Amino acid sequence: MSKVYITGFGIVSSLGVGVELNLASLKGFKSGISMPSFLQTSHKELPVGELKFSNEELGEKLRIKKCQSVSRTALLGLLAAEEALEMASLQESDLKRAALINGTSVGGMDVSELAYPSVLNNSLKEYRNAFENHDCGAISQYMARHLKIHGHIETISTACSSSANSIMNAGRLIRAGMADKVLAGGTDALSIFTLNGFGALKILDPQHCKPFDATRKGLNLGEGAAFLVLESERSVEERGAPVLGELVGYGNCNDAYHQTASSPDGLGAYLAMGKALKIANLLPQEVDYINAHGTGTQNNDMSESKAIKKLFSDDIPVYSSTKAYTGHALGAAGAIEAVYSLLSIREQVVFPNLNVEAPMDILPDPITKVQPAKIQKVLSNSLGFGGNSTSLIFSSAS
Amino acid sequence: MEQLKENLKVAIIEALNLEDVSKEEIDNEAPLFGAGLGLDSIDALELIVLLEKEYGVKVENPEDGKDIFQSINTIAAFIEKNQK
Amino acid sequence: MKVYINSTSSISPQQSFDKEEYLKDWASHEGTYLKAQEPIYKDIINPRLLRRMSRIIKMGVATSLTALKEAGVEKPGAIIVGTGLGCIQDTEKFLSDIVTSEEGILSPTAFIQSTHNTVAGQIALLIGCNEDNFTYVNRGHSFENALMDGVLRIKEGSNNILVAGADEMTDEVAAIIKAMDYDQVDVWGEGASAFVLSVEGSETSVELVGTRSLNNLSEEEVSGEAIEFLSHHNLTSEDIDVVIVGMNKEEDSYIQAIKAVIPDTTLVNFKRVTGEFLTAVAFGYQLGVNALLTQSINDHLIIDKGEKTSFKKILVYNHYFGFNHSFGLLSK
Repeated sequence: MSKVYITGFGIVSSLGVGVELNLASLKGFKSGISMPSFLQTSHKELPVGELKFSNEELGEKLRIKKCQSVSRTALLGLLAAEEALEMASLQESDLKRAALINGTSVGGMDVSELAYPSVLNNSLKEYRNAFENHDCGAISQYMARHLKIHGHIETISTACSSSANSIMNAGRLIRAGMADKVLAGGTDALSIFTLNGFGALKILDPQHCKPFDATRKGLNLGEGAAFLVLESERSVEERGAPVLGELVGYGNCNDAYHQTASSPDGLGAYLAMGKALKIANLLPQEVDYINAHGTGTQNNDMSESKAIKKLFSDDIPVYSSTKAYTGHALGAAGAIEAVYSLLSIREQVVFPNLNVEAPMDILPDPITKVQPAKIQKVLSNSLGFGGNSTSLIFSSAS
Repeated sequence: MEQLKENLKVAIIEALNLEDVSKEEIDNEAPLFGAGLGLDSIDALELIVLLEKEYGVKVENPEDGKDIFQSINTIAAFIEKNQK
Repeated sequence: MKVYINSTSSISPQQSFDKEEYLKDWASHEGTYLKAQEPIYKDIINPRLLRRMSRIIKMGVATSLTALKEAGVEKPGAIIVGTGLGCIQDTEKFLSDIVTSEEGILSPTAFIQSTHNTVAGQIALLIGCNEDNFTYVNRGHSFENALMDGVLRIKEGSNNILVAGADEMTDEVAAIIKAMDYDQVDVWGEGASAFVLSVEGSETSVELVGTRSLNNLSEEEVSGEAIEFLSHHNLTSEDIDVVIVGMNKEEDSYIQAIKAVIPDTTLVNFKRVTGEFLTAVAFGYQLGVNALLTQSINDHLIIDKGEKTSFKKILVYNHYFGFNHSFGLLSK
């Protein structure tokens, strides 16, 4: 079975466009949480992780002239994807048979929700463009066309674990010999729909979120995108491509407890981490760092902490959540944190968990400073609605 | 107060889509969650919306829902106490 | 390694859920789209969860639970669902609440239920299944993504994989589509179909020999790819007894391209049952399985009658707006 090599990655988040800006903010304790300026919500009092560029500015960066009707989700995705392809030095000819696996939770909702009053007013024709770009698959198709990717296309929508599942599927396709080059990740733009939805669930923190703090009040929504280039051994050898890391383990499972909440004992996260370790053929103590899902809700952080405690027992690796930097970028979160995991390996540091004043008492305290460490194996969790739980394990290039 | 309780039952059945339940089946003292009507945490959020929209009463902390939503009696008492 | 379809279940605009009544009493439809004929759900789904479910969730869950029951599977090795537009009824409700309340006090249920993975999540919750749970939302390849994943899981060593495709139509979407005046499609529809894929088959199983999905093909390329797909499985056009296609309108140039290279078989249009929608092809597979097991096909669906009276191999071909194309091969 082929190894699954990573030869490129790209990222856009509220910390900025590109890997280096994200890294600088992570190292500089600089959170991307702010009040919404581009999202056309009336809830300007709710902090979010918003990228401070308009759609027109994002379009300019991508050399897309008319981006009025293009979903911000697609624009964010393309920026991250282009950086990943460039880092991997993939040429247009390489992309002919490459696959694209995209994960997104609400796709083109940012366009639909602004056009929706025209449906309620019965001016249906005006809604045409919004409707044609609304679904998650439309985002992937637009991206594939722009990037000139002609191979297999997949779109996964499993709420907050969507892009972690994309990366998992890239691993599965490569191991099965069904693909050689896969661009996998995910993208989600902030939307009025999700902001109000999480508001209705009463799990938005009206202040900056505090993952793994005992006084945490909820999450901040975020936006962004990240993509990885994953390649088979054969493809890497043929191209002589430099290897940046390896996807060694992945596991998905369902908590089967509640539609939105995680089970109190974290069964889903526990099983997903266990499956990922099994695929990676690793023991728990071989994990050097956990990039936790850690959204800042009472429920998630308690449930995830218990799952980590159960699996790692007394030998708990250093861990942190980076959600207080980026906000929770929903479908994109798994891929964004995959990039942070790879950066942790590249830089040999662990990124801090911001805003912890009174740590929870289930696990040892999360890492709150930029801590140099020998990092070879990183486990990253993504846990979502509908009980969807995914763990990925990245390793330094062997 | 009795009228309020009757109205509440109708509103709850509608808001929570309890199609198979009639208001006569809901006892004023019976627990609504768990063994009783079998409501869950999503219903608790719906009840918060119901109180705010229909009765103008706000539940500031969702955690307080546990006490307020024990039964029709406790909800009615909470509304009476907080309605202006 | 072979992959068997051990059970199926469908809800479609014709009678298909009750297999005794399968496509009997052909229903004529009024209105802008073909509306699914739905069973009485409370006999199938736990009423406590049922009370919040929109139609796509009910259709997806009911067909999935029925397929599992028929295959005698309590806990599948994975639950995989494909849906093109997802839970649009709840999406519409939450969107319209946002607009009319001007982002005011909102009830959360529609938001929760609008999430694309609600169908797969609800199945897991109902049967207590902790295994892998995936949802694909990939336009005219949403079901194909799910089916391919199911086959891969069998090859990875899992067993009894539940694969389903589901989409609902609402009056609002129907009106939007009508206003858009698409000339490529005669009639739109909705429905759900579910399948259990297993390593071992029985008398009542059909082999899923292979599937392939391709994008952006010309008519000429469709002809070529059809033959290529067959020869990949060591077959020629003469080995195919029935071709089940999804024709978007009665003059469909892609179907002509298929006919040109597989001329003398029985040609069947499953979209006469389903109408067009993003996961309609799931019913095409269900029809194929049913045809192989009963050795019969409803006359309403037959476009060309071939000479063969017994069916062993069926090719399924579908396309969505000439962009998403897919092939599947079923064998008894």
